[in-house]
Amino acid sequence: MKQEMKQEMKHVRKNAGNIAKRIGGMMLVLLLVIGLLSGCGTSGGGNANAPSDGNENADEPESLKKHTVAVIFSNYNTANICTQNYYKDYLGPEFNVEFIFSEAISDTDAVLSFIENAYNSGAEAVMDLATTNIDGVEPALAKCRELGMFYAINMDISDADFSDYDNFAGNVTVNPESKKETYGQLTEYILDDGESHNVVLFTGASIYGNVGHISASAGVLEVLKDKYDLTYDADVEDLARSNSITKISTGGDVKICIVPLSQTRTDDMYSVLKDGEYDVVIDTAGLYADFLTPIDNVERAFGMDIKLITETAPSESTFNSFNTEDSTGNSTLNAASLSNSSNAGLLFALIYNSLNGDLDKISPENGSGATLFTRKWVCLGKESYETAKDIDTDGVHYTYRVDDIKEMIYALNPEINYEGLQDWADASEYSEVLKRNGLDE
Amino acid sequence: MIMKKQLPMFMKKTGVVLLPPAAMYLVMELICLAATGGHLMSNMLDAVTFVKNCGIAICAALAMSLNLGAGRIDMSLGAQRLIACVIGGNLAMALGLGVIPTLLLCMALGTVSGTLVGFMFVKTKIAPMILSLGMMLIYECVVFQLYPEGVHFYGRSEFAMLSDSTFIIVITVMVVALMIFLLNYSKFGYNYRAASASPSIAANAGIDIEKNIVITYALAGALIGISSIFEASYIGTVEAPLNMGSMEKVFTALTPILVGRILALYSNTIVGTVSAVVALRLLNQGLSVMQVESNTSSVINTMLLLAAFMLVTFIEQKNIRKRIAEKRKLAAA
Repeated sequence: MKQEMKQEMKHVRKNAGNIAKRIGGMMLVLLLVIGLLSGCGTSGGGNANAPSDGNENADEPESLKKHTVAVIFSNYNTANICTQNYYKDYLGPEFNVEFIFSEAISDTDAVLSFIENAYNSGAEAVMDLATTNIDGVEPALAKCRELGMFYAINMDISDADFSDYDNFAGNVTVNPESKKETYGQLTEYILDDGESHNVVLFTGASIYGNVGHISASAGVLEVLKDKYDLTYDADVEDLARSNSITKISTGGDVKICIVPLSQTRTDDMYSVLKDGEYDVVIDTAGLYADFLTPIDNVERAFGMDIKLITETAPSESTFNSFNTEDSTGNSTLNAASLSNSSNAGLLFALIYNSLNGDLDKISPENGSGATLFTRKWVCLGKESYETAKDIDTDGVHYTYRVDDIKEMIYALNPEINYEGLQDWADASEYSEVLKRNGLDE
Repeated sequence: MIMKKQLPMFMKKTGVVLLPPAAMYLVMELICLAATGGHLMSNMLDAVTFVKNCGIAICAALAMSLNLGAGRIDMSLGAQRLIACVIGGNLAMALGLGVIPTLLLCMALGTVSGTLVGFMFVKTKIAPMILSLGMMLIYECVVFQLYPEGVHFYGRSEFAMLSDSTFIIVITVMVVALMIFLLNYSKFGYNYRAASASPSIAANAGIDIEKNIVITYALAGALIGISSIFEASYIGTVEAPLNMGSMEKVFTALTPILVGRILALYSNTIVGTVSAVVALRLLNQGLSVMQVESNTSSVINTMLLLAAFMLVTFIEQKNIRKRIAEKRKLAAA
């Protein structure tokens, strides 16, 4: 009897153990499924609601009706984190908008999948800060149209026509010519010491047709050409599109090496710099952090100063880069094209107007979505960075403050139109931003 | 008399283990000379960079080889690397830790994340590949939620020692020595080898298989923690990728592990893996000197991985056939 009971207990324990294992397994599977389905999309405060039936905020004025907007990022670099904070902590509470942020997305399928998930979580519109390829825009636009969502994008292509899509709110971009000009100024600043320099030009996604990177690279090559009286054997834009590490023919003693975007870019940069021939690195894609170690190693090995120009955003990392001395006692970062939140502010204005039913009021006369051209800032050295460093980062000073954004919203300012929005885009110039924030003295 | 017999055998084994790096050096040196007119190592900078890369890759490959050697592939190792260096690095900066405490903190975080995967494996019995894929996604999300910007070591002079080549060599040598001891001369190593060869026989022999598995995962986590902090401080910045972006690191370590398993026939797994890592780093150094495009470089490395897979499979099948033949011979006798 005792033996039987013992065996029974053993059996029960074994069963309980098996059940516990199964439950554990199921919980883990559930956890994995949740992880897979949700990715890491985050909501900007509170729970995302299902699409409203129109009654839940009936007491609120139409302009402050609650909206949910999805935001797509390709990565979470400094600039995008600033943008996320700008939306979530600054604009969201003021305009009663809730944001759903994507994980880092780099392909069209993931964009489409995120849009569907965001829609299911209550999003009414999409702000796409990830898609850089024009081929990726149409599927996203079509998906949004199918789901009844508005779509606005921040992309370096200004002449794309999406007039077939009535849900296209617009594109905010940096004028390619202005980008060329910015990089031209930065290059001139470095070359102005009167010495001869050999330059490594990191052309970023130029090989994939990124207009901004091509323009910036062309700007650098043109300034080098004029400054040193060089002759190239191809057009500057074709040179910028080189798809492998290329030492270009300059017709003189000055050496210029083009390094395109690749997964092994750090090794590529090291292999070019390691003989100590080049003393200037110009990065047109904001990936300078990947080059700091090879530059530092070569500087230490040869006792030389390699000057570095990049594109970045005001942040602690940028501050450290300007203020950290390299092994030769010079700033690690010498000059930069500074991004700002103008694209984020204008995208928000386009989408918010669309959600209020005022897209036609702010669109150009031809009926296609607005294309707005913003500006990057030129930062020449660490002293120049001192003033810019707080804008968009300190929670007080912004390229566009809430009052500025309100001026861009038709429901709050019936005088605003497409030209008015373009004027606001022009007002992203550094001096104007300083003035609006009271920092110009 | 015994010495006389053992010495030639030792020399032969040493020669076989040293052959891949030596041959690779010669071949790449000749190719570099022919293609660019330059040397594989043209200056001290090249040598220092090579040493640092080897140290990082050796620790990562040893971490990967621990579970792979026991028939389990741990795809979450890349994500454990993120847990260790991104969370550990940022915590170390916030707490103002020195070099050694930072190294220990990263090792500890790697150990904890590895232990968790091991614990989940022994408790749920989900296939290692499926489980580790899930754990990888979870770890990636955890890191991303905590530090979406990753970790930035550049400009932090207090951590400069972590990317110092002498420091990396010293730690790597200590790690290799410890691993040789653990796997060949300790109770854990005995149990590990028994469990790897046949878990059921090992269990019947009284070995606590589950404990051994959890310790193996923990050890792998600690090793990837060391590798990750060296890499983070050397490269200067590590991002927090999502969507299995951390998995690339796992595949990078596969080729030397497989080559190491072949070389292990003449020595042991650890020495074989170290030799394979050095040989493959020399290959990549050569490709870098020749400025081979990254796509071409990837193709070459993937082809090598495939070749290593085929060779390992061939050798294993040959051994199985040999054992069957021996059994038949015994049965016939």
